[in-house]
Amino acid sequence: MERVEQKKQSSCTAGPLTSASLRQAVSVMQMMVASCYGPYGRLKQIHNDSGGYVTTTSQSAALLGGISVTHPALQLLVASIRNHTFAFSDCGLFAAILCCSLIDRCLRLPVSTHKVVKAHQSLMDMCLSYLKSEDCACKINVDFTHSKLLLALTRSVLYSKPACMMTRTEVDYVSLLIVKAFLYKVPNVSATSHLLGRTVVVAVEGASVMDSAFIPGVLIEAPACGWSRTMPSSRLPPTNIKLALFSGSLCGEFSETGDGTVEVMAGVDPEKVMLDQLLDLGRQLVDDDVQILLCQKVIHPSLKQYLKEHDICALDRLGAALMEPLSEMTGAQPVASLCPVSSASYGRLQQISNVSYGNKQYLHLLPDTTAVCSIVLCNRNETSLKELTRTCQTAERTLNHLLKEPWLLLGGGCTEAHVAAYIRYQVSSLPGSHLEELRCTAAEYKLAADCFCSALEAAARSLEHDGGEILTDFQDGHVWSVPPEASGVDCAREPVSAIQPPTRTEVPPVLLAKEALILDGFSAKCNGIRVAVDTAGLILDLAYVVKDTN
Amino acid sequence: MYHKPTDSNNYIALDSCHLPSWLLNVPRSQFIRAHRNCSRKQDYDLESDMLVEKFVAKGYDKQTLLGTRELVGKCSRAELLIQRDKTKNIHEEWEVVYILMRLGFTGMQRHTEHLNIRKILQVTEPLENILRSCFGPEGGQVLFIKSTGDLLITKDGRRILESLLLDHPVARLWDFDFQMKCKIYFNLKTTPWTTEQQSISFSPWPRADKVHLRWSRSEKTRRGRHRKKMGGPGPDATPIGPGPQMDRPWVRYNGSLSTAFQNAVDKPLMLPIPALCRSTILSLVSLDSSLVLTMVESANIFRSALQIIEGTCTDNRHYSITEIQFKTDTRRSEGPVRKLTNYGEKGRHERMIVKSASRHYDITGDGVKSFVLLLCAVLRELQATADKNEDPLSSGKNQYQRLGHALRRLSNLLLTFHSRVLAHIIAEHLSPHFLSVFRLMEGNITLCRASVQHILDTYFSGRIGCNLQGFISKLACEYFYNSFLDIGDIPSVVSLVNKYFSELLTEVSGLPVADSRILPGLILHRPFSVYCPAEGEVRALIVTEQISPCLSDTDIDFVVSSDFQLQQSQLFQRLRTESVLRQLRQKEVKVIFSRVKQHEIVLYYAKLSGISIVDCLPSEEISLLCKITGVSQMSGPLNGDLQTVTFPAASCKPIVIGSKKYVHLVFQSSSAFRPHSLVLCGPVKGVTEQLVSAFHGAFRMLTQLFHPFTAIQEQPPSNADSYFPKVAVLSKEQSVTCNGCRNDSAGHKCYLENIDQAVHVLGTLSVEKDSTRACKECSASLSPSYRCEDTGNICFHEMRRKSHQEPFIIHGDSSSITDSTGTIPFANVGLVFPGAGVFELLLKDYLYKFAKTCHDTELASICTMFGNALLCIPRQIYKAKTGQVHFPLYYLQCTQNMKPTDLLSIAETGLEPVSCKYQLLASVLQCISQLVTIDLIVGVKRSPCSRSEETDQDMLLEDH
Repeated sequence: MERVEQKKQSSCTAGPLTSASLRQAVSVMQMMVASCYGPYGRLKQIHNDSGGYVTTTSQSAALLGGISVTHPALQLLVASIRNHTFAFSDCGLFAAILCCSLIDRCLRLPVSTHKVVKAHQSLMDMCLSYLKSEDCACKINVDFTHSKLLLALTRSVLYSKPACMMTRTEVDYVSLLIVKAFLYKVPNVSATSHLLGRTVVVAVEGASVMDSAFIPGVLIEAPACGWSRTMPSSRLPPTNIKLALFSGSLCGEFSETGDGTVEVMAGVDPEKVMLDQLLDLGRQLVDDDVQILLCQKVIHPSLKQYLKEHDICALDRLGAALMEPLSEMTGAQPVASLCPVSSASYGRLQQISNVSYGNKQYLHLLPDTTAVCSIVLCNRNETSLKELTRTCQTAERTLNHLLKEPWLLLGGGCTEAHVAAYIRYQVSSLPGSHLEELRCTAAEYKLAADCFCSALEAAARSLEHDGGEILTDFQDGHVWSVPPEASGVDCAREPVSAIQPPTRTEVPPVLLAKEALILDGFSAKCNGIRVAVDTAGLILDLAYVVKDTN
Repeated sequence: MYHKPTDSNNYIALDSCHLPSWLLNVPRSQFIRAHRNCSRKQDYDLESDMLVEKFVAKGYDKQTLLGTRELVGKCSRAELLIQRDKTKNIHEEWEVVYILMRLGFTGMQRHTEHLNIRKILQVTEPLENILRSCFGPEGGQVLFIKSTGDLLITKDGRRILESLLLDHPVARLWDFDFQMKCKIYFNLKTTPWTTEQQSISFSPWPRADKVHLRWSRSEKTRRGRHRKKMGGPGPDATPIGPGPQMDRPWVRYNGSLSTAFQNAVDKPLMLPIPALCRSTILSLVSLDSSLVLTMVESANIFRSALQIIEGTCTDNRHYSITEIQFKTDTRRSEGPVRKLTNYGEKGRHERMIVKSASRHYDITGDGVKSFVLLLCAVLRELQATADKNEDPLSSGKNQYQRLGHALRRLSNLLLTFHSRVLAHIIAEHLSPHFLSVFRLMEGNITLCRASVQHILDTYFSGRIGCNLQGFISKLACEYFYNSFLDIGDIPSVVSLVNKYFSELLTEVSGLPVADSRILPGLILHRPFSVYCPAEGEVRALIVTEQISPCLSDTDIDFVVSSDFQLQQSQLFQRLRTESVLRQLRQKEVKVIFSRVKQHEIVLYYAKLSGISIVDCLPSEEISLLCKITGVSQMSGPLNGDLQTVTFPAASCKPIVIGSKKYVHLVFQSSSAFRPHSLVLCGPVKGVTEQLVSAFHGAFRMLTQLFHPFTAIQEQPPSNADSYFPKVAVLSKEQSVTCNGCRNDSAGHKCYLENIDQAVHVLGTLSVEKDSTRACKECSASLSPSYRCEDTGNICFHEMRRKSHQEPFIIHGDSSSITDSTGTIPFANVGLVFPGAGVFELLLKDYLYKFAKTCHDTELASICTMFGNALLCIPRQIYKAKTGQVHFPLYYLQCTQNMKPTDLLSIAETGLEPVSCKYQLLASVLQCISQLVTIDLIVGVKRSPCSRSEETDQDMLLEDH
């Protein structure tokens, strides 16, 4: 009816923000995310009560995207972690753990929240400026001339997601593919017009991981039937192919007549006019020696037939997603109208071939340029394939970020422990002016710093799940994980000789020579720390929750 | 008139248990209907004869019917066909309610007596409690979960008030469609034999749908059943009509009807708070809402009840009121409920506090929280005064009228206080303490960056979380400085930024706040549809319509007559598009900004011609582009002259912000406004939204800051007024104080300079210079107040003399400044005051002083009262800052020395624009003076006005 429904009043409450309720909610969250963290993390299965799709994952993006939380503070936390993973893909779990443990520890401090939040802000600035500085001892500069570090980084990313269900050799194989693709799409000449190429991921279910492949160019999936019918009777065209790309429809419909009405008098057949134009276009293509025609939308059957008779391969219904890579790769201009195609709009392809992965048929378009490449990812079942796809995209993005900030951080909790040690050292010798700016006493600042450092170390410690011991070198900032039964030390780096944090240390060459180096991306880690501290500050600063119940 | 074959005499019988007046009106409206339908007189006569017969058969009196018929027949038909405005009736009906209230329902009068202030306080105090915890730099934030599930973090008072969705009319004033609904269930049960024993059960019910008024005459046959049904010891009252909130407590009163009614009116305040309500605060508010309505509705109910009882007495028939269900309705109101539908009154009574607060925010962009705090404090003071002086207010025979009078007087007094006293005190006494953001250096006026930074710091400390304040405030200051070249342009530039804020801004969620930055030029929030890289300067074109011609248009039809014609026209379309773009390429146009989506074919040819296209741009961005570049939009077909529609741009490139692609346009021209784009990042969308609104508010505040402060120039009117002599005397006193003050501040220059490199121009400079200039130019325009009073005149001259002798400006050459006319435009602009409650403390002190000398006792008491109320803000600030100076001590220091800048460094107190402060006081006073004049709040639902009375009654007839 026309009546305006009365709005209910919002509920305004401070209930969920009391220390006890907040800590309880946060600890549940922390338990969930911390148990997923790292290569030995436990998997989570997310499924709906009323059936449907089941996801097995230990990735933050899938995990936090799949659950719904009711606690308002946790809603805030989940939203900001998801935004972080949307931008960086990596370090989502780390940020969540850090944020949770920060909130939990801050609530236990006998200092007013405002002061703690401000102190944490300054500690975070200190920590990030240390990580960015030249003196940082846990940072490695990337040398793009060697693929070793890139491989190690990719391997760490893939290895830390156990839900992909890959063996060590498979991990090595897939990381090799990813690094290959990455190096392939980086342009050879540095010019402003040359942008980073793109990778198209093609997921194939059912095959073994080792069947995955790196392919330059684009794969177009063949439709289930009718593929052979549209293909010219003769074989696929040979090398050096001339190609025309159409983004407009070639279905021959009389459309786009404007806003007004169009009257058609008796005896006039607009469709026939359109078809005549289509055939004219076909004739022009034949005259121009075009060998393949790609169309985003539908091609009229008559035109298809005509092209087939003239040995032109016509592929239609490619969809909008493929148009941009195709245009980039072949240099063709997508044509939008039936007008005569100018010769500048044609593109070139090196080769076309039929390939098959799993039980699917693909048409492989191999270009001259290196702008676009594809990775075929295979895995045995749907769940692990999805996880693998997500993980590979994460790895790809992490590598992309390297181009912007060419540094790597030591993984395996070492960076966190090292930074914590650095902060503890710095805080012990802090100038008084800094405290005055923050308007807090030295003792308060010390408490806040302790809280911050222990939260960082807690994040590092949550890598261990099997009841093993975590050894932390507070002096040097270094973490070992000792499995309960084994005697070996699984660690990112060899114990370096004892150093004072402020002094400059190189990452020793002996470490770089080590085979299984665990590395983290720099940008994602920094942003993760920032997001965690910002979000914790926000949550601690809340006074009321107002909920619109309409 | 045609009658259906099935038509029969179904008119309601006269002995039906409806209100007599209602029943008697049925024939009249039927006559009217017949008159409307019959265009000829004889038809009407025929028809009305039939009607009379029918009604007589149903028991109506024939003579009355004939009279009615005559009456209706006299009306002109044309008049009857006009749809009538119903508001007139409502006023009449309203009077009935008022008369009833005067008739001797003392309970109700007593209720209205203190209704105003107490009730308003009841509504505002919960609001105050919520806002108090978010007040000032130490306050927390509020997480608002929208109905869509989106999160919003806010510390903005207005946002909080809005998000609460309050439904009390006093509190809620922003949502017009949001109607007050109320449902009251009365269950009146009279035993057949005694009218004395009745019980009323009463419950506030914040929802209403429909009116039901049912009563049945108890027949002798029914009596037994009734007694059986009621059974049990004593009268038994049960609530009728289970609603959605059945478990709300019912309050039951036993006793005589009149006492029950009184109780119902008086007691609801004591209702226990429903357990269902989620928070105490809000439930109080919601309880209140129904309470306000109670009076009116119960008056109606009581009236009905009285009629029943009267009926019982006169005709010796025993009525049993089985149930009266009283609810309000919009569309199908029946009987007495119509009286509740009131159109005219609504707008005046509702929309008070929050609307005032929002209005205040729209002007100043700040101070909503202070507004509510101050409002509460003033109301509390008023209440305290009213309690103390109850005798003069409530003596007399008619309390109710007396009270109304007193309140109206109070309201007038407040307005007088505002216009005469407050403006004057600020202009005369507080202005010596004003500081300016402008600094004079070698005759040039410059803007003091540190001061602006302080103002922004203070502003943001109340608006966003503590860990982001510093960064955002620096960003805002930088943005502000980037936007203008010459300080003469500041006001226009700031208001331009304010106007186009959403276009100058790009929100990014998912990145840390520290990634926020300022970009030169403009970000257009659309991606390139076609991008052709172009180096260096590019020429751009703005279009608002399709470039390619279409076969037909909205008002142009296209006729296809032959295949050839169609082919040719399509060919023409293509060739035309191609030639247009080729033409543009020859004119060296590199970029096209389009408001509409361009055809694929245009994009194709543009790509071939090397022209970039950005289409689907919002019209606001297009208008901003035109504003900056000074070109007009091209709407017609392209012609040869492109000068007026194209402009050169330094560069136009794609940019990726967050994960979205935009167009980054850098301009060449250097007009007064230098466009800069602001990118605000936040980890969550809620945070970004908060930053955006705070940023926008800051520019609103800056607009206010650079707007001339008018209170200074406001002089009391010249007509004979009793306040004048005192004011003049005071100002004389004050000028001495000012003098001392000036000397003191001169002594403390170095201190100021050292603290923050801020140079402050004393506000007196502006005032006095203004008056000096005015005096020179035309003495007639001088405020007459000083001239008519001898003392005032002397005082003025004294001041003028001083103004020539003494240096007002701490820095720079004083003699050159005094004569420099360049300062005049900035005289009233950019005045600031130390924050953190210093303004309120000083104002309170001056108000006290004024009250002592004021002869008008009422005005004096208002001054004292307002002064006391002002203290709430500094007190609140100091309560939050534990470990700071003890409040009474601080207060003493501040007021005794009257040199706040000496006591506390600006860095600690921050700076606030004077005009915002003044606006705040003015808004509060206005709001209160409006609030206290209301004596009754009537909640109604708007019923569709299109419905005519007749159709309503027709429907009723069908119902019965």
